[in-house]
Amino acid sequence: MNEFTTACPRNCYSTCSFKVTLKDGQLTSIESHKDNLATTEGPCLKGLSYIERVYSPDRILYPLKKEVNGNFSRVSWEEAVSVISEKLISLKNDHGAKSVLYYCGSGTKGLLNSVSTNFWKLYGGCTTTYGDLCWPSGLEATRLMLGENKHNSPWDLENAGTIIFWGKNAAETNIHQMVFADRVKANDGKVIVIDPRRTQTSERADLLIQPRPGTDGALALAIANLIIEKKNTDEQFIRKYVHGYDEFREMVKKYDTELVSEITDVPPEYIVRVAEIISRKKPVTICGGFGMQRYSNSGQTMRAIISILAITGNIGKPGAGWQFANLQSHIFDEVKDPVASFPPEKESDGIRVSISTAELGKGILESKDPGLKMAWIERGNPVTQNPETHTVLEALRSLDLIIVVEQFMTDTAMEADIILPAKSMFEQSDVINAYWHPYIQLKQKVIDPPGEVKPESEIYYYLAKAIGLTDGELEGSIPLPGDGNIDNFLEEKLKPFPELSLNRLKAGPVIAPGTEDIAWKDLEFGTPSGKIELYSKETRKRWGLDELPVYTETIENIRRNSSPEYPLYMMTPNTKDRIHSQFNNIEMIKQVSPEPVAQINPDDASKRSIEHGDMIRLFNERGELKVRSVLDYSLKQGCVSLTNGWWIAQGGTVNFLSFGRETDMGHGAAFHENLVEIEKVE
Amino acid sequence: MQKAFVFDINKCTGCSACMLACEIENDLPAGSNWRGISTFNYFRFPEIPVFHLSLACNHCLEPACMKYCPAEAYLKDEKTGAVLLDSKKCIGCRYCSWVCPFDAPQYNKSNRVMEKCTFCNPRLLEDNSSACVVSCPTGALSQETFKKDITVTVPGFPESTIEPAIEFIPLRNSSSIPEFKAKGDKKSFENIIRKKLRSLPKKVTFSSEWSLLLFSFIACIAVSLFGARIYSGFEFDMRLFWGMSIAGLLISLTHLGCKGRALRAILNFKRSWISREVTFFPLFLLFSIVSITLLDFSRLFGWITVFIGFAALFSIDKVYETETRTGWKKTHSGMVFITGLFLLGVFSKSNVIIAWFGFLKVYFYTMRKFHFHKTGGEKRISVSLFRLLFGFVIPAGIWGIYGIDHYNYILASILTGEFIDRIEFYLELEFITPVKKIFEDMLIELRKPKSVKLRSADWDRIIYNR
Repeated sequence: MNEFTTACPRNCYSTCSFKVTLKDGQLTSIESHKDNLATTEGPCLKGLSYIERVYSPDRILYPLKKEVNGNFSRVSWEEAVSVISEKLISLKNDHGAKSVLYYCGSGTKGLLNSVSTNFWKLYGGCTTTYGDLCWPSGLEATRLMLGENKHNSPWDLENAGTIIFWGKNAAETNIHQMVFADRVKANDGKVIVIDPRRTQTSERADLLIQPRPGTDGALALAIANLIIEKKNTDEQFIRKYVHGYDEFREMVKKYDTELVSEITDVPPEYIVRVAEIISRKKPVTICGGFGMQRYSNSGQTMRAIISILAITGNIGKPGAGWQFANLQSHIFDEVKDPVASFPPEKESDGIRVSISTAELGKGILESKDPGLKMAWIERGNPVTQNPETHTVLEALRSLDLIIVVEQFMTDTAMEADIILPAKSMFEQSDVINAYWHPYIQLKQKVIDPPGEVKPESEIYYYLAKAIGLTDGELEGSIPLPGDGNIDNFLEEKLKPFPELSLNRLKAGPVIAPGTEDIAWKDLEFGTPSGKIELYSKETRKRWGLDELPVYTETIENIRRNSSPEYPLYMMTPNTKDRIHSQFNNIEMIKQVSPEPVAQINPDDASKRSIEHGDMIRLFNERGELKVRSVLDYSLKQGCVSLTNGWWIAQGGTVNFLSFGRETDMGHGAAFHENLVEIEKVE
Repeated sequence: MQKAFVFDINKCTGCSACMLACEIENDLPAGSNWRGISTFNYFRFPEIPVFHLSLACNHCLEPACMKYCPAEAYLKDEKTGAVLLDSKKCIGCRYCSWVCPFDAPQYNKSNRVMEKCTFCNPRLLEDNSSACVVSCPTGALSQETFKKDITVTVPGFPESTIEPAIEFIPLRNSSSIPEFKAKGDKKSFENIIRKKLRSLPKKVTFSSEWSLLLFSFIACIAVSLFGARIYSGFEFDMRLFWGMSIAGLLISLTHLGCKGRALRAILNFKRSWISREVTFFPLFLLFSIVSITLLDFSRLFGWITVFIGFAALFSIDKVYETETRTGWKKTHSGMVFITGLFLLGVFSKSNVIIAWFGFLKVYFYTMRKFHFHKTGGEKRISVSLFRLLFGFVIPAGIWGIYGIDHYNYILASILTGEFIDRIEFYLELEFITPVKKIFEDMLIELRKPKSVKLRSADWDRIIYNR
């Protein structure tokens, strides 16, 4: 029996360390690695299901080519590479390198992901996207307020007097955080959850606040106003470390409790209670979720929430702070997110960064000089996950050639002309960071790729050779095939950090050099003023928004007020059963979550003569979805909730109903802001 | 040393990792259910908490599966307390799944034997923990050495006397749910729960147990026929008696997953009513052969045979008298012992016996039906009508009008009525399962008067510590 250390590279807070066991070369068990203090208990169900996923009969093991009749047939690597390379050469000659779209999602983490961009640079450039579907507005709000994105170590949460899960359902999306939250409860600390849904996270909370979706900013400002009115602010902290407090104080006076109660549909006494708990039960940590920052006003919303912590001195202390993204392990990035994902001021290496990820479909269709002819898609499933599925499909279908690197027949893979089989996490070593805990981890190769699967770095190598590049030209950009070369590539990246080496990482995770256990303990902020900026000139300059975190209604909400045709807020949260659109085809997962369902409040259901278990149709002017209804007595009235990530063949993606629109800051996607109507399918 | 699961309800988020870990460790196909998760308040009704119970075999100190397994296929590992099933000894009769309130033994359709959680015994023997425990992402599931006087009464967990080796850490405050603004219509919710309760898959159904129904009914007729011969010299066709009895035995075999191991069914005569049933009935047949062929119905030997026959019928009734039975647990008019005595009277044409047991049957029948009527159970009025009509009214009518002349019609009518009652007996069999219990307890929890909202004074205390 062989035991190996590795780590899960999914786009997930927990980014668990694993100990995996092999028997006769076959993966037989996955347990958590106890050295990662954030994930000492077991892995989640998705982590366990790798045992099936890696060996799934549905895995794509050979290059596939789409026939005229639409079916896929197996082709050799030689053929696949030659078709692609010939097309690349001719496109470059006829239209220029920018006629090729390179699109990658967040399917897997790792330093080797940089090989992709290196290839496109060597090719002579490409067109690619800026922004991100995930978290930019929250990142940018945090950066503008606090200077950078980091927070206290995960285990510090247990020192909190009060935890506020604001729009975060940790029980499903960051299950290991619940261990620390439970310790707070056991010590008689307070837990508040702010979410239109009653979630598993809220189940042991003291208070569940259910605002109307998109109004969290107003709620935050009302809470801040109450704290100021009751003189519960930390005056000394404000004087020393907060910039723009006077302006902020004047601004929040508008956000009177009664008025905000009307805006948010939260009872005034609850708003008072949250303000009082924050004032009395310190230290306070707010864990901000990602879903609520996918709204058209969400950057300012996030800034408003952080303001509460600033005026109460809940930053830079144990048990306190703003837990949104901890990028302290992103030591390999020269420029960190969100700035790294912004379109560069000056084009370099022939790479045109011109399409907003939030508007991928529209961006592809509207690209000119040159227009797009071909797409290369890896680590992502944009048909399912990007806003406006219809437009994305239309855009992809307008191209001459689509290459998709995938493990399974996803909605996007179905659109491909050539599918190249992708490796699983166990089939090539890589070094990964995280965004909740501060560990650097080795995602170790433990088995050989099955069939004719090749890691992306190797695919790029052969492609580079086929378009005429020499080994000398590839040096430092694309590693030669072979595990030894990959290890050398990684060692080279680790070199600047004496604490890190592949051998050390094989033993277990290592806390990233320079990590602060308590973020901003020194209370020095990387903002223009060096203080926490309640008033931020950069916000105005960069995004054209108010310097103060004022509340504005979301675009869809304004529309709702004027035309009540689609009166229901469609919430599209993540689930414990998947990472976005990954894992839903695995039998082990299907036994837990067999089909997409829409949760609705019984009052909304009975108004439409819908009963539990009925097939219902959700629709708006953009599209429709048919799913089964599930009654949820505690879901806020006027909301309907269905998890994102289902493939079209499994019942459909929520993005048939979403709209491609950027968030107010950060170039995020405001695609959680959707209105629909529902009806029973007869 | 008996090990025990410890389950902290506060910590479990219902994530299902334990289920997957179990399937991986034991190489089971997805959906195997050695460990299952049941959710209390799946519909998130505002006034009651939502929580989950992750349950597998509780490796009881007094395991019912082991005690009542007719084939002695179970054993308990003294070193860990693990209750283990030897699949090579199991005859696939499924009786362990009836007597286990936790739904631990599962029928494997491909092997046609039972299977269940092994406690990951090999891991325990190596001082490791079970796979489900190791894989729990929140630490809700753990393992300890079993202690007496632990909490095992939580909503959704079936009560029993078999001493399950599981300890629950109950909710910190059992009525604690977050305060929030939402109200639900209790009536519509209760209706949904009741509907759900009715639609839950039943452990024992008429269609799954038709072979047992036929066997037990045939056994009942055979014993009473022979009894009537001894009691009153009632003459009957011997070929019919043999044919029927042997057919009954063969039919009962079809109930077994593993028919080749049928003889194992008598091994646990000491404790299992199934073993007694399958010992006494063939013994009755053997004795009746001797009695008929060698002793020409000699009285003493005849009565011994009748006694053994009724012992078989008594054992059959006892098989169904499990601790896990819910619903109607009192005497059922379709039980074969009382039916046997009634038919003994009918075959013997003994008015006294007919009157006594006929009266008892009608009494038990109406009692039960009134109970169902009161508790909202299935009433099946037309079935009742047929049962009473064929069983009592028609035969009494024929007897009243034509006297004993049309005895065969009377008999046929009575047997039809009794057969309907026996079918109803199977239809009305109910056993507790964790899933069922959780819905039942939700109804109870809903009816408890409680103030959901904390008074502002409570909040003052919480916020200001005063």
